Amino acid sequence: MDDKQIIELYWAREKHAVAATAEKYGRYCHAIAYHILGSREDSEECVNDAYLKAWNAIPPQRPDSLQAYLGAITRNLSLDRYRSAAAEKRGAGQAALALEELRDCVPGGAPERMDETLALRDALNRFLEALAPQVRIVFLRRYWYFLSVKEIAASCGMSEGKVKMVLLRTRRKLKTYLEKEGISL
Amino acid sequence: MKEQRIADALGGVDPRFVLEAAPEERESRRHRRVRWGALAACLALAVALGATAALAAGMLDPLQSYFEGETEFYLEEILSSAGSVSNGEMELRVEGAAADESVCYVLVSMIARTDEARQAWEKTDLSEQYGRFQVYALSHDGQEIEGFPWSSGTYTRQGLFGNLSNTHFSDADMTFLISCDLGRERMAETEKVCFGYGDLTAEVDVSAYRFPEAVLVSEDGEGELTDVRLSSIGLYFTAPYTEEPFQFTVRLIHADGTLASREEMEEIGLHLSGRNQGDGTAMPVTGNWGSAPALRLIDLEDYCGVEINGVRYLMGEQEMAADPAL
Repeated sequence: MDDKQIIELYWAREKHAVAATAEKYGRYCHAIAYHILGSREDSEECVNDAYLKAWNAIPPQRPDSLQAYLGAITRNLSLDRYRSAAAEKRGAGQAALALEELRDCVPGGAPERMDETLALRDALNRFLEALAPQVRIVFLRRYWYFLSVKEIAASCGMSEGKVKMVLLRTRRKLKTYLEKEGISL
Repeated sequence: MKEQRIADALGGVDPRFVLEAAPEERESRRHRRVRWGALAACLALAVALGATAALAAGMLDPLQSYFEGETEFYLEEILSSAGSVSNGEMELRVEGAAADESVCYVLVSMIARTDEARQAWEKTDLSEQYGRFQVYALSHDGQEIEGFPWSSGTYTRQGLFGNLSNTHFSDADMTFLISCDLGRERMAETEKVCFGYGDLTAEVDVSAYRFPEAVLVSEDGEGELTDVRLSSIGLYFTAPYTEEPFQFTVRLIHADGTLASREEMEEIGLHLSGRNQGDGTAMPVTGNWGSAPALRLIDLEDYCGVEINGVRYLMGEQEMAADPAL
């Protein structure tokens, strides 16, 4: 079943939509959650919560890419759960390490405001657009999908050392870019 | 924290980039299912195990969507807990279960028995259906096991949920693979795990059959992990307490002493979860074989231990001999 048909099922309020979603994107969503949380139980609950969130959001929403939409919901829910679990110091995922690495590209500055969040997202889009595709893939596999360096190396046909180097350089570039754009966090 | 703002903002980047970077999904599970389908047909012709096996042969294929691996060896154990309860309108059916000394997994289906019930079921909001499920465990003297379910989510409701054609059982309206991580201490006290939906409650006797756990010891006696146990369902050990996120690289060791390859381990799949006890001294780690949403069963006779972070933990002759099931 293609994405348009699945989205139509959501709009028709057919519960079959969720099963079709799970069938097509369950493993994708689970992989995202598991890389962040490192726990099967927590990941499964996040993925199921993501299905319910999609069920409640479509309609009125009609995502262009169901895969990216579900992935983003799963990622957000998993990061939220990771943050609450971090207080209990549990979990084995890549989130803690990846977030620590992201500190490298955080300029200092003023506190958060909604328009700044949007500006940051737009700046990130421009930054990503300007990267070479292979570098962009490595960067997003680490900081969007939270894959380990080892997994990225295997999936991109690179050595682990090269992946680390690409990530380090890209984080530095991002920091410089955000500073140049006047983005403060 | 600021790095989390970047992580959050990255979550909203252009879907084009997200899809471009999506890791390729492995196809191995689909291949296995085809192979199992053929095996099921062979079993239907060749295996004569009486009434249970006749049932088993018919159910093998859908069961393998949830219990992968050496299922044919363990089919009777999985099916030993099968049963159902019905109020005439809805049926709550336990398709099968797999338990060891630490955890249990139970496969549960919901079936509407009348057209009216199906209409009502289909009209019920998904989140309401979801919320009506409850699970608890009973001890040998019928008391509810304290501290379980322990998490805020209470238990894992692995959904392949939906209507008719979307569960792998052709007559079911919804199927869940529910994992109950009670831990060895609570599991020893547990006789039944109970699942409820509305006024229906199914009791699964998880004491009837439990896959044995083999005790593993480090080869040189210097491994930092303690209480290492291996079963057909999973791997369990206690790691020293750490403030850092844990990272364990696990490889099974074949019975001939050779290490399972990385590809083989990817094919088998392993999910590890660690939860520190809050006392800052140790962290029990629970792992199960398989790739979600399925659980994988391995044959312990094929392996003699595991290598964890480069240290080999092996079944000793003493441990093997002490376990009559091995």
